[in-house]
Amino acid sequence: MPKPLDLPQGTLDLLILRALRLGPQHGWAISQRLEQLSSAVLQVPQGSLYPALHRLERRGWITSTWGVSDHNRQARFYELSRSGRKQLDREVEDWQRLTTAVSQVLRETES
Amino acid sequence: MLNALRAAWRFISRRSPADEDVARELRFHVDRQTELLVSRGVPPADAARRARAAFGSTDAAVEGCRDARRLSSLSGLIRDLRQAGRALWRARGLTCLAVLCLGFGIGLDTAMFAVVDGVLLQPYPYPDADRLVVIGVTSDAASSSQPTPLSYPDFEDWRARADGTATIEAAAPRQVALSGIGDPVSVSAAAVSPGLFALVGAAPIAGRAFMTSDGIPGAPDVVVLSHDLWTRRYGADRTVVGRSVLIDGRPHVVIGVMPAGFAFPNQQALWTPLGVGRGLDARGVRTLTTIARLAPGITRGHAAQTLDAVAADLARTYPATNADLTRASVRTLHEAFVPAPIPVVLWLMFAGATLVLFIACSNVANLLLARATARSHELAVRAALGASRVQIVRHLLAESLLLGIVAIPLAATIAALGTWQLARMMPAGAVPAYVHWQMDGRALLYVSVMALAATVAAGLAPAIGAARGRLSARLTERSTGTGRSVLRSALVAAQVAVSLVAVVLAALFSRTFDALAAHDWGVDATHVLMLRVAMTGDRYADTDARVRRMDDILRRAVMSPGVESAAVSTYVPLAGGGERGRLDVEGRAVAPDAHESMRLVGATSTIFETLGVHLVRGRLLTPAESLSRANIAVVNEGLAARAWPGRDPIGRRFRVWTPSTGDQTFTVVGVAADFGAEPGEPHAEPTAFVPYAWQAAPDTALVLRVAGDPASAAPLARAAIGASDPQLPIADVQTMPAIEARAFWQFALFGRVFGAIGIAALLLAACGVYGLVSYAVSLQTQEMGVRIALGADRRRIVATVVGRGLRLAAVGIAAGLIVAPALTWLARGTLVGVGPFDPPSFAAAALLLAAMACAASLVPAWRASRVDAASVLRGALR
Repeated sequence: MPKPLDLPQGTLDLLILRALRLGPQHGWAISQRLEQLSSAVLQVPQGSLYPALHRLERRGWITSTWGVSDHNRQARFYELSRSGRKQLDREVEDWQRLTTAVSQVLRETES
Repeated sequence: MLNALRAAWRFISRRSPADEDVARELRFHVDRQTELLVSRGVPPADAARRARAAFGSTDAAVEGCRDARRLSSLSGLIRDLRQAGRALWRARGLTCLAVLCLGFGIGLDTAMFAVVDGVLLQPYPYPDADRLVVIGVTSDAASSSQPTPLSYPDFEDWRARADGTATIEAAAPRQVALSGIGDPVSVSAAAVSPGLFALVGAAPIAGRAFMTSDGIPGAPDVVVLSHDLWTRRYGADRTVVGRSVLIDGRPHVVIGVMPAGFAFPNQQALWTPLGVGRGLDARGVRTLTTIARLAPGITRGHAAQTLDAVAADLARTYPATNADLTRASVRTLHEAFVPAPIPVVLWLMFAGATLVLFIACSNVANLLLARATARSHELAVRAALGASRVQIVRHLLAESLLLGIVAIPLAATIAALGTWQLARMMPAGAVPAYVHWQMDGRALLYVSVMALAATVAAGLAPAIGAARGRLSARLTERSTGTGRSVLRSALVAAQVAVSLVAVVLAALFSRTFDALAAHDWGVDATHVLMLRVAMTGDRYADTDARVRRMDDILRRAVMSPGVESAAVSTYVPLAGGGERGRLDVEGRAVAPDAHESMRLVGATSTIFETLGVHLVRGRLLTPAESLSRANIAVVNEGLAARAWPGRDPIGRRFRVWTPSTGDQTFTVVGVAADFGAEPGEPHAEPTAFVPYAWQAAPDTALVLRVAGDPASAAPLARAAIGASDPQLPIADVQTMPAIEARAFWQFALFGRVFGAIGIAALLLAACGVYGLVSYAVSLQTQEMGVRIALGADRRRIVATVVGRGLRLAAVGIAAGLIVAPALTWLARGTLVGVGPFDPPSFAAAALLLAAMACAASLVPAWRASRVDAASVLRGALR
């Protein structure tokens, strides 16, 4: 198995928003989901996950509530807000334009 | 101080409930991770460790979350303040020093601000006080002299003529005897025109104010009480309104009580209506405080023009009384109520305190400069990591701002203590009404603004200096900051200059006070006691009644045990009295408007013996003559020198006009030694002592010379007066030594205030010199070590370092010696017995500052000489 990749700058927010599109989740579950979704290629730096969550909450893109986890324990659940959904769409679009452009450049250089 | 800092730190760094929340969230995460690992077959202990390791630092995450949250609710400034708080806490020593400097500097300045504000700036507590003016008359010639008050007939004429220009009202202050309920007392009263209260916007809190009908002849006698008198004497009893009290023995019905704090014009305790037929009908009796409200659109200039015409008319119509008084004087309340030298002195005090604040600020600036230099490496790292210059300046300014915020409570406390101490230094009962101040909202606002302005000013130079230039260069070099050391030296030299000015002013006022305290007033005062009575009312309306009463009191007083000599006199040295009059010397022609002024004193012949004043020529009056109306006088040397310079005054005659005696001619029978002359004056005010019957004023003093302590003789003297007339109020009892001590309290106060300012300036400047020299020494440790290693004499090193401090001081002293005379010249009017350019004061101040600089440099010099050469060299090689 190749070494997991560090996240490029600024992509953590995008990934968190994307992970939350599937429904409300607590922090640990988000980190698990990101690993699963990326087939363990992306390693989420767990210490920086929470500051990122709080930052997103401050910007109003996600909301949080304390709830009961499936193991019957108190956990904080994050949920995508309406503006968060729009932000996610924008960021996904931006990301796709960026990656398309980058791949294009890379292909040009190779050929 | 430390506690306040600690609290501030706790406030800045505390873990909030939100932090606890985050911690709980993170615990949950680690627990779930552990469970996951356990479910995959990892041993539980190992699983927990691995889960924590995978997560990394929880503290960092909590901090990260806090920052992520706070950025929203707190602005960048607060974040800077938070960081600044941490930085200041790390440098606690420096922080304390800076806060102390600022606290003292700002506190002193605020105390002075409160005084200047209270006495000179704050409007008087009357509605539209800036439209109120005080009116008097002056002569053409002496426009600079004190204006003369109006008389009641003058006032009525002015009032009628000024219609449309100003509304004029008047108050005639006088001393009255109040009895009827309680002991007879002498209180300050004023007869006021019925509209006066409305003019100054005061309304009674109980009963009613005066109406026009109260002032007409034949109206029943009524009185309005001050709140103070009402509470003190009548227990704030509302039923007093409507009852009758005795004023000068005549029943007056109390019709109202004024609100607390109202004591117009000075410190009046009760008011009666002013009107025709109330004893003030003579045009020559000028006792009115006349106050006017300017009509809308009328300036002081306009009013003065209109009133000048009135004054000129009256001067033509009534030449006997108004001949010289051809011009109106229109002054603001402040000009009229605050005597001339006071504003200059107060502004000088304020300026001195502000200069001390400047020294404190430059000390703090120097501290911050030194710190910025020491931190240049840290700042360079910040810059390298992407902090913009603006951010760095903001960060450093936040530190100084925080210093200011922390200094505010200290400064406010010191200011409150300062004003309290000032109030304590003023003798009770002798403080003029214009002296009032408090630590109010304005003063607190001033503290806050000054604290923030001062710290930002102190922090700006270092902050800009730190951000200026190629920050990255500092990553590799160890800057010694030559450019900055010039700025620092300039600041310290300026401190020395400012201290010199403050110390010179302190010296001049101290010398003034000393001159007055050491001055020989020509009176043997040690055993002299003075009691002033108040012979007012119908029983004493007649002069002969007053003469008989004083004669009787005198006879009883002389019989009292311990009394060596007793006299009756309208004048007491340093306490005033007597009557000013116009002098005409027989056989000497003078221009009509060039009359000389003199003092006429009614006294018994024993006054000279009682005060220990000797007779120079001629004879005294006999006891019988003292009580007669013989036209003979004993004059003082001042009058003899003025009227008959170089000739024998005995047997010569002079004419004197006063409001109460009219024109009288006296023949000189004796010349007494001068007493009561001001320091530096060759003679006392020209004075004639005439038989008491000529001048039997209601406020005559009984003057006693006793065997022992004069204060202990007071009860006996009171008893003698009480035995003669139990209803006679005693207005004032003072020993001569107490009068002497009190006469110049303001100079003592000025001396001490400037002394405090001087000491504060000196200490702060010493800190500045010390800081700069020791900083320079610390930069040169290596050089010193090398010198010592090469065999330099340690004494030479001490001399070098001290020389540096002295050179710095010399520049400051030179600058101060140039600036100080300008300020002392402003104060010349208040100096007595010492000139504004008094060489000893200037020399002493310069020497004191040089000594200070020397002492402040000695510690770093000694430290420099103790540098261990071996360790310095090792350090240099490493």
